[in-house]
Amino acid sequence: MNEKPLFMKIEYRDGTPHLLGRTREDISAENYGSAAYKRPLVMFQSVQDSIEKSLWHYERNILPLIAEDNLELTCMAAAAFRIDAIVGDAASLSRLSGVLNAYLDTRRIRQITVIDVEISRPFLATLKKEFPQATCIAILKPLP
Amino acid sequence: MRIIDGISYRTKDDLAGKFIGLEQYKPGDPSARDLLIKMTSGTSGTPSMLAVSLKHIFGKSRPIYEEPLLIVQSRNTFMLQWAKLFLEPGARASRLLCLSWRDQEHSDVCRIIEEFQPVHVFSFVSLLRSFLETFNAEGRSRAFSNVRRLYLTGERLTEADIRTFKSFFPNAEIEMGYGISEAPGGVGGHCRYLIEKYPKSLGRAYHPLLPVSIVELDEADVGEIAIRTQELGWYLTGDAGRLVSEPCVCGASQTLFVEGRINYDIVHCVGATVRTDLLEKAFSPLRNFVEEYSVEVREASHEERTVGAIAIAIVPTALLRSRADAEAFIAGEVAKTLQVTKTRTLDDLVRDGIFLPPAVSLVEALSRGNGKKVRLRKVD
Repeated sequence: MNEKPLFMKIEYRDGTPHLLGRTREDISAENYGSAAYKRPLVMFQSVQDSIEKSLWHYERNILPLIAEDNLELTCMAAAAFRIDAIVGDAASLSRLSGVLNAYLDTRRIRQITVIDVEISRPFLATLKKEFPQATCIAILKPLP
Repeated sequence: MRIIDGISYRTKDDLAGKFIGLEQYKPGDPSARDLLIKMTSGTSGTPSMLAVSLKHIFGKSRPIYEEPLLIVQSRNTFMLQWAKLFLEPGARASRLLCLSWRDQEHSDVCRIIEEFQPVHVFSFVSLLRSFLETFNAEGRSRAFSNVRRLYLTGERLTEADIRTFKSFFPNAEIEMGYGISEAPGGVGGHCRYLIEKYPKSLGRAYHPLLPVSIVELDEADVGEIAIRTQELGWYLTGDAGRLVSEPCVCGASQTLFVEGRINYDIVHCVGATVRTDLLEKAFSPLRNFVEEYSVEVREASHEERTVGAIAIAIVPTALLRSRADAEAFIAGEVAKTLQVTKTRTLDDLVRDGIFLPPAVSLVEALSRGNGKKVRLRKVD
């Protein structure tokens, strides 16, 4: 038995799932950039990633809005929460592209943090265009 | 807002499009760690947003948090809540695995669960039922052999569900909790002494976990369950129930019997779904015959099988009263047009013996009105 509670993530390596245990301390110690915002939307394809990054925000006394699979519901919730930042992977941010602006003024978004194994410059340029007031932070994570 | 006996109660409709409880959030303050944003899609499609405090749940050590726990869920908010409770400071060492839709559908999910070796499993009844369909016999015995507690919430368990779950989790006790998404931590807690006292009451008898009252009681002391939470004050759940003051061996002093849903918009029954919007569609051509109606759906035993049964109470117009075949006419028309699966009408399922023909009764007035014309509920 481990000494501390473990939040288990499922990492997919070449499509094959593997379990990875994370303690609260592990999660807190991660560097996901400066959290210079108050109301982030946290949205990843993997629910464990969404939970992990939400827990990271809690460690910084920031209340996150965790996205649901239902994009419309997520966008309506983001508008109601008056989000000022989005933390997500490239695929999730792409899902929001061209949709979120129907629900809220995207100029309110102050920071976009992309965390992924691959982040292209054209993608960042697209984000910058979509969220003109936002600082874009790209964090490459190692391949699983 | 509804006022009943001088007390104001919030309802689901009051929450639509609103964000309740957000004033508790002070960015940068440690109190932010106690909060969780919950969202529900609501009956109208407009989400309700709630910032709820988990403070009253933290520190309530339960065995479910102390051994490997598998969560099979569809809502990320729920899973985040579990993760927060699981990793709270001072929590016992254990491990938590949350399975999303994507994980549930992966061909290797059985191996992952086997590797995780859950001792407790938490899920919703319908979700777990469909998730288990993907397992073969060999896979299930390896993945679930150590499960000792199956903790379920959501819709009521049928006998068929219990048989299925027992076959997958032969060493597990089945517990049910009664909860609504607006109240983190649940509304009613499972108690094994209650189940012993009231056999076959699994998923029906609970001890209240929050202040509970029953409003607008009928002659059987059944009324709508109201709860009081920090964020909502008194809140009408939309569920029907009965509250009994009685001491339990566990030390609790009240038993809450959950009887079904009041004005439920969607009722699942023997694989079919009865929806208020489709009921309205079915009754629309009958507006010259029907002043008002209410519908009760139940699962019934018929010739040693479980079948669906629909009882329709009608306040007739003069035109319908003049017909000698009033009940049969309404039953036939509704069955013919009421869609209960994607492709089939109630009539189709009656023909196949899955539902009994609808039972129509003409009444002077509906037994309990609350301003809504359509009243749909599932009863036992």
